[in-house]
Amino acid sequence: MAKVVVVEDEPHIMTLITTKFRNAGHEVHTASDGPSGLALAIEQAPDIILLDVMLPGMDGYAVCSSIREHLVDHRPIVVMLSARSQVADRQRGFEAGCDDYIVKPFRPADLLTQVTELLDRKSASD
Amino acid sequence: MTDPERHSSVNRQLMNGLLAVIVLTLILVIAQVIVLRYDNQREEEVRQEFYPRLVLAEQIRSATIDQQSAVRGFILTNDEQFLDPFIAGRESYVTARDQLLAFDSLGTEIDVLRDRQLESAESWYHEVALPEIDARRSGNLTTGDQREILGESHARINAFRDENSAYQTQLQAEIDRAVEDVKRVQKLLFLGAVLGSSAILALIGWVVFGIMRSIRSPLATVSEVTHAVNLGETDRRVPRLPAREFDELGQGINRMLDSLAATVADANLQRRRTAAIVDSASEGIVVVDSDGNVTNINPAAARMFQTSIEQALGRPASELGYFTNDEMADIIERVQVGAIQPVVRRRDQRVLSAAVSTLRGEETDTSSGLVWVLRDVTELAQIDEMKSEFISIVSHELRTPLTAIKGFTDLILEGEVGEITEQQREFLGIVQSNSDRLVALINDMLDISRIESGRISLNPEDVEIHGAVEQAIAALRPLVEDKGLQVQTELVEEPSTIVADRARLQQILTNLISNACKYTPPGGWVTVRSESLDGQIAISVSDTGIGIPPEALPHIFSKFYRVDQPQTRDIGGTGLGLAITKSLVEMHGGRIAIASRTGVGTTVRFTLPTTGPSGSTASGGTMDGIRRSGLVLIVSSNIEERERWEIAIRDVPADVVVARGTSAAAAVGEAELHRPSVIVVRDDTSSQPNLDELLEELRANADLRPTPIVVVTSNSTTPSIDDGVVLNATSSPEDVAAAVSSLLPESTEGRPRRGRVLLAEDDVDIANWLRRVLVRSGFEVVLVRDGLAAIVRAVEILPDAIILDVNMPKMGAAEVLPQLRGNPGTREIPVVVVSGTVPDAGPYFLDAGAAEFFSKPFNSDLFVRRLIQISRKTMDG
Repeated sequence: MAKVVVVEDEPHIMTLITTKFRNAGHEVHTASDGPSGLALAIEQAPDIILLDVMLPGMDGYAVCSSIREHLVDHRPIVVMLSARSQVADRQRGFEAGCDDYIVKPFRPADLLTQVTELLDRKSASD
Repeated sequence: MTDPERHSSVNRQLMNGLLAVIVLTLILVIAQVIVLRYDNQREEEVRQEFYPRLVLAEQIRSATIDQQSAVRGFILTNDEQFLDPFIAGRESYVTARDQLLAFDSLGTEIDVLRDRQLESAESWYHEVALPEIDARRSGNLTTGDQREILGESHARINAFRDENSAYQTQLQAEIDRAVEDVKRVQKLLFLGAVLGSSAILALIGWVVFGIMRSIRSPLATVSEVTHAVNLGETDRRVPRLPAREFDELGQGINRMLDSLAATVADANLQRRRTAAIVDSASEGIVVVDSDGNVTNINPAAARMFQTSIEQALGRPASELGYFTNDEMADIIERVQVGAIQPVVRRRDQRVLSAAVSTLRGEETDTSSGLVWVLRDVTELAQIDEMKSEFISIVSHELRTPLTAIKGFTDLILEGEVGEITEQQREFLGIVQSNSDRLVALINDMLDISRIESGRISLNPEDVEIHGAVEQAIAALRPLVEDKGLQVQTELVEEPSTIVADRARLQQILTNLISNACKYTPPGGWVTVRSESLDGQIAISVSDTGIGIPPEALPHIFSKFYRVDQPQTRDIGGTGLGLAITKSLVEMHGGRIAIASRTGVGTTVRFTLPTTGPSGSTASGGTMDGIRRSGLVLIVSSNIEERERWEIAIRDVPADVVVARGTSAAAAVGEAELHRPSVIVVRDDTSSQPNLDELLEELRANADLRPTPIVVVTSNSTTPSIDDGVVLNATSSPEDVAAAVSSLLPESTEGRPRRGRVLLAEDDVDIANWLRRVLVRSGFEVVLVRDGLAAIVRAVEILPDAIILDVNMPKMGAAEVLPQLRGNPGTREIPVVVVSGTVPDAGPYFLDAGAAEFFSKPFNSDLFVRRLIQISRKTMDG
């Protein structure tokens, strides 16, 4: 049971992710553009942020950087979701401070597994 | 144009001048002669005219004096006998007087003198002499009278004498005057002669001067005109000249100048046209000499390099900022070997593509240079970029809906939204697998687009081969298990790791292994092998699948190419996998090849440099890298024998590949794939493949034709092979290995050091022995078995030396040698004749042009030393 913030402008993808995560028993909060996503993340201080890269208003990289600036004490796991599969794009994501970069299309189950693994690893290190 | 009056010939002028001189001289001479003759005559005439008168005058005087003396004597003595002389004197006088008077008059003055003396003489005679004589006879004369008479007579005679004397004097004067006249005429004539001579001399001078002038002046004109034309007044022409010869010369020069002007104009036109083409070409053209300096640059190129033609000319081409000096040197070297790919570079916001080729047959000072043809491909590059961008965007855009499709299908399949029926599960599975295909297609398209736009970069790192292969196989486990395939690996221990882009190597392996699995029917085998090559690793993926039809093989690496076969229709694939794989292998500096037989299977083999992709991706390619130096292909259907050979050959040492197929075609396919150094073939009537068929197929393949072959035969007839060894079926595996060893190149590094020797020898043992000796010494040996083949191969490969056996099938050395000597291509190649049977034949062959003769048995060291000496000459020459 973890708190998840999903920032995704595509409603169907949003539904896909929220369905999978809610069914798995997680608490899910959503935002559909960059600035509100950033605001929601700061407000909720979740365990996990699933962040789309191509977002209106502010892209995922910028949102990720800001989250890392603002949520210093409570460091959430940030997983970026992107259709951009090039190495340079991944690199940019990691530079912005994400913990994982998942290329679309992804299997919801795989995403959940990956996130669970990251959570386990984090709780183990904590 | 021809005016005979004007164009008198120099010749005629000369003739005219000479004629005038001759005529004048003749006239002068004739005049002289005439004058001389007239002169003498005139003097004679004068004398003849005057002297008689003088004589007669004298006779008159003396006759009169005689008379007077006689009269005086008679007067004094009165002696009659004195009268006789008187009478004689009178007669003499009368005769003289009459004669004198009979002459023509000499003029009044002299006639008066003549008549006066005659009158005096007459009057004396009549008035003095005769009266005195009468008086004396009468005797009445006193002495006084006598004295008086005598006195008077004396006085009158004296007067006569004076008059006579005056007459004579006058005559004499007359003569002198006449002579004087003649003299004067003579003087005048002399003067005339002098003047005439001078005139002739002057005339000669004038003629000579005229001729000189008539020669020098036109020559000067011609010279002046040619000089002027030389200095650039190209429209100057020689004017019409008076002398025909010079006029012809002048007109000839004019015609020459006309045609020269026409030629120059034509050449200029051509040059201007060429220059116009070069200048107006939108392609930039730069000519660089062998020193790397710009000798020519057109405006387009100058624009591209943002320089001016004047600024660039004669300057090092590296200053243009496109190629560095090192690159230029590299390009010059590579261009000598063959054309190189255009080099595309970005320069000042523009993208330029430079195609470089060598400059041949040009009037450049240096023997070689380079021509760059530059194209501004900025737009093309932009379009290409846009294309890639488009594909990229489309692919990304496709990913989002696919994520939804796949994601929801998964959610339903995973039971997140309630129970589903078996049929629903099956159908959703179809949706799922088709979505997967779409994703794979998008990924491949993205890869191809990145590879083509050169925007893919490799991240070389140490990659462990075993792990990479296992990982690729593991990823395909579901497919493998589904079809019940046997996947096995035969991986060499060393090298265990290579430098490569891990993800890309994984992609290569996955592509190939998944292809093998896809196209292999259930229960089949897939084998992943690796081999260690010199600085490279070769990995092959073989299957026992449906194979690829021969007509499809050439296109198998092309984009979107899929073999249209009933068996493949339902196999998913994008048709991009092999194209991507090939590009990835080549980006690593490796090569990829495919061999396949329908119904038998397919092998894809690729090589990668163990040290990674750095540098070795030059487009020149390395045939040596593909052509193995120590790989032996065994083609035999006898498994036991094959294994024994393999063991023996591996001991040589050499790598061994066993052809799996049994047909000639399969064997050739293997050979194409592995490019072995030697092929070992078992030949017997019952066995497959049929040797003749195999040899024919090998000969038909340009790459495989030079491969030497070891034939192990149980047939009685010796097969005819171009290069190789024929062994008896009873030969031991060690014999086979020895034969293979003799055929393997000694050095695995590059070309032999000593050059190439054509060895024509039909005796297998001697051929093998010689081959080994030569190969060990660094020669590359091409072996032929008969004389005819020797000639054919000599012409074909132009070896550095040829070794001929005296006795060979078809043609012996005695026949081959003259043919080699008669062919311009092979004439200079030194020939060594070896003989086992005719040791005395040395002088004969040396006479026939052989460089050396060896009689078997001979010392191999000596033989090799001599051969090195002989072949070095040709290699150096």
